[in-house]
Amino acid sequence: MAYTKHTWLARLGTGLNKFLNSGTSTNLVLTPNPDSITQQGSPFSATWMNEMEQGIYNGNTLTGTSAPTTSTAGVVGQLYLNTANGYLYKCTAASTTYTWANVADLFTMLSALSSSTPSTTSKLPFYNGSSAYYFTLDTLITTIGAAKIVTGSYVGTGGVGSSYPNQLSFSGAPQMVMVYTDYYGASSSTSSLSGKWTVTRILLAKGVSSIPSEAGNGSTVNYTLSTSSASWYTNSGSAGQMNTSGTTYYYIAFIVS
Amino acid sequence: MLIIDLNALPNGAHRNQTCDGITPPDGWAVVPTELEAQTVPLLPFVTLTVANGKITAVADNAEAREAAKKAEPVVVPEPTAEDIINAILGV
Repeated sequence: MAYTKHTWLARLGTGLNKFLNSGTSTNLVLTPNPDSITQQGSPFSATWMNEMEQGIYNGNTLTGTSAPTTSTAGVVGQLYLNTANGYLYKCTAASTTYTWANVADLFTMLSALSSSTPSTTSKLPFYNGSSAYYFTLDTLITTIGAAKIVTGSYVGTGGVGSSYPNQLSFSGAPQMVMVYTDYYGASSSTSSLSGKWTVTRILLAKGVSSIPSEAGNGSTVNYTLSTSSASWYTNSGSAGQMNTSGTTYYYIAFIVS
Repeated sequence: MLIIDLNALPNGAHRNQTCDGITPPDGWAVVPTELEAQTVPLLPFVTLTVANGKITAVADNAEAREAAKKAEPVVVPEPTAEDIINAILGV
C-alpha cells in the first residue's frame, strides 16, 4: 500500500518561549503563554512517529547469509540482500508467510535476455566516470585502432603493366594485402615441388611502394594502398602481376576504418 | 558479393572482385545475386548489359576470350630432373 506522508507544520508566532507558572518557585507548572500565534504547529504524536519508524524499517534492506525463506519477515516492497552471493530479493507478499522474489542479480538479468547476433551498429553502454554513453562496435574498432581481416578473390584479366593495374576495393584502408593462388609445381622448374600447392606471390604492406617481382629478374611490383583500395602492377608478365587471364586469385587483407 | 568494372580493358576483360561489405568504386557495379552464378564462369571475358548503372544481363564474350588465348605465350614446362636424366640415358 502506498504510504501517505504527513506534512509537519512549524509553530509560528512571537513570544513562543513564554510560559505562565501556576505552581511554586520550586515546583513549576508551566502553561504556554506566547505573545501571539500565527500558525499552530503540527501536534507531536506517537502515531506519526511510529509511522516514521515503520517507514525507516521498510526502507531498510534486510541482510542475511542465505536466501530468504517464507519465514523471513518483511513487508511488501522491502529488499533483502544475500551477502553470501550478492543476490537481491524483494518481498512480494507478507501475511502469515512471506514471499521473496529474486529481482536484481546480474546473472538473472542476463539469463532473461534473448540471444541475438550483434551488428556493427549495435550499441554497448559505457561510463566515463561522470556520464553514461553508448558506442557501436564500429566505433570501438576505430577507437582502439583494431584491424579487420577481410578475404576475397578475383579472376585475372591477363593485363600487365601500369596501364592495366590490378585493383581491390575495401571498406577501410588496407594496411597489408596478401595475394595468393594455387600453384602447380609440375609445370615449374622446381620439380621437387610437383603437385598443387598454394603460394603467396604478392605481399603489399603499408610503408613501401614496391617489392621485388616473383619473376626474379630484377623487376618490381609497384603498388599503392589508399584509404579504400589497393592497386598494383608489374612489367614482368601477367603471372608476376597475379593477373593471368582466367586464373582465380585469393587475397587476405588487414584493413582499418 | 561480386563486383565488376563496367569498363572493359582493351583485351575485353573486366576487372572483378568477390568480397563482402564494400561499396563498389566509381565505374564498378555489383553483379546481382541472380546473375552471379552465370557470371563467375565467364570471368573475365563477359559482356555486360547495363541500365541506369545496374547490370541487367551478362553474356560470354567468346571473341575476346579466344583472342586472349591466342595472344598468350605457349608455356613449355621446363624439364624435370627426371626428364634430364632420362634424356641423358636415352630412355
